[in-house]
Amino acid sequence: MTRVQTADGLFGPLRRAAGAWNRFWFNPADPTTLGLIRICGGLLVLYLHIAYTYDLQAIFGSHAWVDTQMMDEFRKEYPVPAPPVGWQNSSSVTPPQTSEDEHYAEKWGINPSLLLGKGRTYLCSIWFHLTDPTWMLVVHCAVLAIMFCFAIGFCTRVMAVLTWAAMLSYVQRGPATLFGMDAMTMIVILYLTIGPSGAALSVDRLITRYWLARRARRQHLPTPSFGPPEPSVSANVAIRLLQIHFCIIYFISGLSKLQGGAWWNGTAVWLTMANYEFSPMRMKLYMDALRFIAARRWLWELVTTGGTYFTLAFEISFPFLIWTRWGRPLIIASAVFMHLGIAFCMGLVTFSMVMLTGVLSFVPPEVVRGLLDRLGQSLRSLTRRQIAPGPEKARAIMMAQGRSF
Amino acid sequence: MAGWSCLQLRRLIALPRSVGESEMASDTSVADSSSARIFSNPWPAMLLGLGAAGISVLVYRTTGTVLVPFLLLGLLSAGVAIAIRPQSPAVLGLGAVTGFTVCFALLPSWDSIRMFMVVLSATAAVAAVLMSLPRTLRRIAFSLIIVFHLGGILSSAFSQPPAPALAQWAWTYVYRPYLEFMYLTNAYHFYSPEPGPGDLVWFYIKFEDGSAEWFKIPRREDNSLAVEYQRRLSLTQAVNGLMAPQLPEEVRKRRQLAIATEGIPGHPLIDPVTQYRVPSALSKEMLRSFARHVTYTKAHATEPPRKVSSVKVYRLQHQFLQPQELADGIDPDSLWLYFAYYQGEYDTNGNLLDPEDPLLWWMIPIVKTDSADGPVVMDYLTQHAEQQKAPKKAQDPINNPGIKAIPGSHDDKAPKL
Repeated sequence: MTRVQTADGLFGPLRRAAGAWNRFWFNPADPTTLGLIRICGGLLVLYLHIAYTYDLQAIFGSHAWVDTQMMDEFRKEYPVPAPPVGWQNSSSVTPPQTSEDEHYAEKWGINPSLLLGKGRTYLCSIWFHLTDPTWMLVVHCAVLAIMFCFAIGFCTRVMAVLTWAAMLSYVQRGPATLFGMDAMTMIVILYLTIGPSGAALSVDRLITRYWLARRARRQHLPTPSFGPPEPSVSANVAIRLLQIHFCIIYFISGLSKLQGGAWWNGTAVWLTMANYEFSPMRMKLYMDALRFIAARRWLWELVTTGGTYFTLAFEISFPFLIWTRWGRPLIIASAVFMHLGIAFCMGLVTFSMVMLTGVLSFVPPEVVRGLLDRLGQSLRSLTRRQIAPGPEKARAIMMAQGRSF
Repeated sequence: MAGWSCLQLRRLIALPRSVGESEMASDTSVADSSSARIFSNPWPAMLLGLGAAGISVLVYRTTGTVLVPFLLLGLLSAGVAIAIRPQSPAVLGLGAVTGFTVCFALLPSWDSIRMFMVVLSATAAVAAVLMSLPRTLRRIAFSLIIVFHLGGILSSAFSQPPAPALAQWAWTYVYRPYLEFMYLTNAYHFYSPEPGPGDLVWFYIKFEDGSAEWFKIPRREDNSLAVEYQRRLSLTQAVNGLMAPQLPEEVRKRRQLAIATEGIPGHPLIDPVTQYRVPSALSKEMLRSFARHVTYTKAHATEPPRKVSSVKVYRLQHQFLQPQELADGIDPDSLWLYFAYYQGEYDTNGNLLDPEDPLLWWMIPIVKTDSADGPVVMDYLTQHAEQQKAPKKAQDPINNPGIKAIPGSHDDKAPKL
C-alpha cells in the first residue's frame, strides 16, 4: 500500500463527511420555497400583531396583566438557580446572611447562595421603556406597517430584521400570554431573517424586474430575460436550519409524550377532544359527534387510540422519514392531517398554520414553482374566459346586434 | 389534472442529492437578470447612518436630549447600506460602528434597548470578520456557529425536568444568555407528560360602595378573536405553577376548624393533601400582578372611576368527562366539574390581605349531592366569595340521570379533613 493510499484510508471518511456537510449546508439553493414561507409566515405574524391591537394595554401597558412592577421584578430579581457541578450536601449551603437575603428567600422560596444570578437580564423590549398609551399605539401601527412590508416582500432585508426585532419586543414583554405558537413563529421569522426571503415571490423582485426592463428600453437594449431567482448559499442555510429545527421540535415533542400514561394507554387524544376550554364543545355538531363516538366503545377506542398512536408515530418518525424519497410525501400529508385535527379539535388554528409553514421548508422549490405556475395558468384562463366570450355566445351577441360574421 | 398531480408528486418524491438543492444549483451563479440590483452603492446610506448616529450622540452628551428620529434614521440607514451590500466587511464593520455609537445616545434607563443594540452591533462586527476570511475558513466558522446554535436548541429541549445534569449545565452556564435573548427557550414538550384540564381564574371584585361583581377568564364570549381567547388561556397557566403537594399538620388543623367557623367543608372525594396546593413563588407574584390589573381595570371601566376595595381570586380546573359520562348526557360545563382553589384576597396594590386565612390555597368545593328534590349542586365557592351563610344550591340539569349523586358533604357523615 502506498503512502497516498494510506493517507486516503485514514482521512477518506473525514473528507467524505466534510464533503457531505459542505453539500448539505453550503450548496446554493433556489430561494422560492423561502419566499413562500415568508408570505405565509409574514401574513400570520401580521395577523397575530393586528390581534394585539385590542390588547395593547392589557398585555403590554403599565397596568397590564403582568404589570410594570411585576416585569421589573422578573427582570431583576427572578432567581436563576445554579445547578451544582460537584457533589454537594445540605451542610455546604450557606443560610441567608442578611435581612435582604432573608426577605429574598421568603419571597422567591430559594436561598440566594444557591443562585447563579438574579433576574432575567437578557430580555429586551421597547415596551419595558415605552408605556404612554398614545405612543404605544403609534409604535404598534408602525410595527404593523413593517410586518406588512415584510409579508409582501418590500425592502425585505431591512423589514425582516425589523420584524424579528419587533416580535422580540412583544414576546419578551408579554411572557404570561405566550404559548407554543409564539415560539414557533419566532423560529420561522428568525430563519427568514438569515436567508434572502425577499429574493423570490416578492415585491422587491417585481420592482427590480420592472426597473431593469425600463432601463433596457431607455437604452434601446433587448428586454432582459427573467428566469427563476438566483440560487444562493444563504437561502440553503436558512432552509436547512428551519428543517433541522423542526425535526428537533417534532422529535422532542414525541419523545417527551412517552413520559405520560395517557399516551401509552391511548387516551391522550380524548383529553384534548373533551377539553371544554380548547375544543369546540359548545358547537352542537361537535358535541353530537363526540357523544356518538363515546356511546360506542369500539369506535371510541379506535378514534382515541388511533389518534394517540398516530400522533406519537408521526412525531417520533418525522426526523427520519422526512429525508427519504418515499417518506416525505407521507410525512407532509400526516403533518397536514394532524395539524388540521389540532386546529379543529383544539381551536389552535394559528399554531397549526405556523407549524405547516415550517413544514413547507421540506417542499422543493421546483414543486412550489410548478404549483404557482399552475395557479397562474388557471387564473389566466379564467380571466380570458371572462373577457372573451366563447364562439356561441359571440355569435348570439352579434345576431342580437344585427351583425353577421 | 390527475396527470399534473402525479407529476408534482414525482417531483416531491424525486429528491435531488440533497434536499433544498434545486436542479439549477451549482457553485457558479445562474444567469438571471433579475439578480442585478437597483441600488449598488451602500456608501451614501452608510454615511447618512453614521452622521445621524454621531449627531444624536453629540446632542445627547451636550444637552441630555435623546433625538429618537435621528437614532432611528441612523440605524435604518446603516441597515439599508448592509442590505445593499451584505457581504462587504467594510460595510458590516461600519454598520457595527453605527450601532455601537447609538448606544451612547440612549438614556441609562433604556437598558434593554442598549443591550439589543450591543448584540446587533456585535453580530455585524463578527459578520464583518467572517466575510473577510477566505471561503474555506468562513465555512468552517459558519459551521461552528450552526453547531453552537443547534446545541443550544437541544440544551433547551433536554433541560426540562427530569433533565440530565449535562443539559442543565449547558443551558445554565453556556447557553442561557443566548437562548433567553433570542427567545429560543422552549423545550417543545407539548402536552407532555399528558394533556391537562383547562384552567381558569375567577375574580370577585368588591367595590367601596358595597357592590361586587365577578370577572372570569377565559370566556369565549369576551374575545372576538380566537387568538385573544388563547392568550387568556395562557394567562391562567401563569398562576398554575404549584409546589409539591404537602399538608403541614398545623395547616390541616386550621382548615378543620374553618369547617365550623366558615361553613365550608372539604371536598368529600378528594384527598386532603391534594385539596391544599400552594402556588410557586412566581405564581404568587403573578397573582399579585393579576389582582393589581383587575382592580385597576375595573376601577377605570366607568367614568367617573369606581373605587375598588379588594379582589378575591380563585384558580379553577375544569375536569374532563369520561366517555361514558359524556355518552350518558352529562353537560361538560356542569358547575361541579370545576375544582376551585382559593388564592387569597388582595388590595389594589396586590397585597395579600390575610396571609393566615385558614382557607388560603385550599380547594373550595362545588359538589353534587342528593336532596329530596333530586340531585343538587352545592356551590360553596359562591358562598365563600360572597360571604354568605350557606352554600348556593342549584338543581342539577336532568340530563345526567345515570350518575349517582356524591355523598353529601354538608352533613356530619362527610369524611374529615
